[in-house]
Amino acid sequence: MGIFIKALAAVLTVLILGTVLARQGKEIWLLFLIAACCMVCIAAISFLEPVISFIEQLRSVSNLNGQLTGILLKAVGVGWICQLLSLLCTDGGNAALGKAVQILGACVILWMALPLMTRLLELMEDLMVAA
Amino acid sequence: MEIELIFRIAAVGIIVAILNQVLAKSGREEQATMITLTGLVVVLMMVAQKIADLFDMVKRLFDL
Repeated sequence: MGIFIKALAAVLTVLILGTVLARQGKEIWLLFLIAACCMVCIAAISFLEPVISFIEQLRSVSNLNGQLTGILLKAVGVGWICQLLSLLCTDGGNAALGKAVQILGACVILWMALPLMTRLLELMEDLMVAA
Repeated sequence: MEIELIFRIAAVGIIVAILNQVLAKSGREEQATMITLTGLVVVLMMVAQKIADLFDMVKRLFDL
């Protein structure tokens, strides 16, 4: 819980110091923002690690295919990092770059889901042959 | 959680801003630009490590 309180305090500090820095020059302010986002996300990951290991435990108990949950987790990771980068680009005044990062993330997630779609197609083919 | 990094970056930013103002007011725009660039590189070197840490953690956590 200490990390959570520290992260909130850091965000408030960044908010206040950021207004001072933004008035002087946008370059260092943006780097300041990136550093703060990285630190808060690293704090969030430290909370997320037990959740991911719990999901892995659930998967092994329910005897699910590891490929399925693996792709889901990867999609979450790609989506998260792309969303963060996109918002940083928008804050830096490059909304087009942010949109491009979002499109890249969506394409990567689709590419990662291809094996699942292929398996679904094979399953449907098998069902149709059996019928 | 290293909050010191935030204060370090803020300190560099404020120092660079003050030096920039002083040099610009005394008619040394080139030096002011150089100071801004130097400050930017210094802060970038501080932030790059954190960005690498974040990307490594995300890669490890989500098995990317």
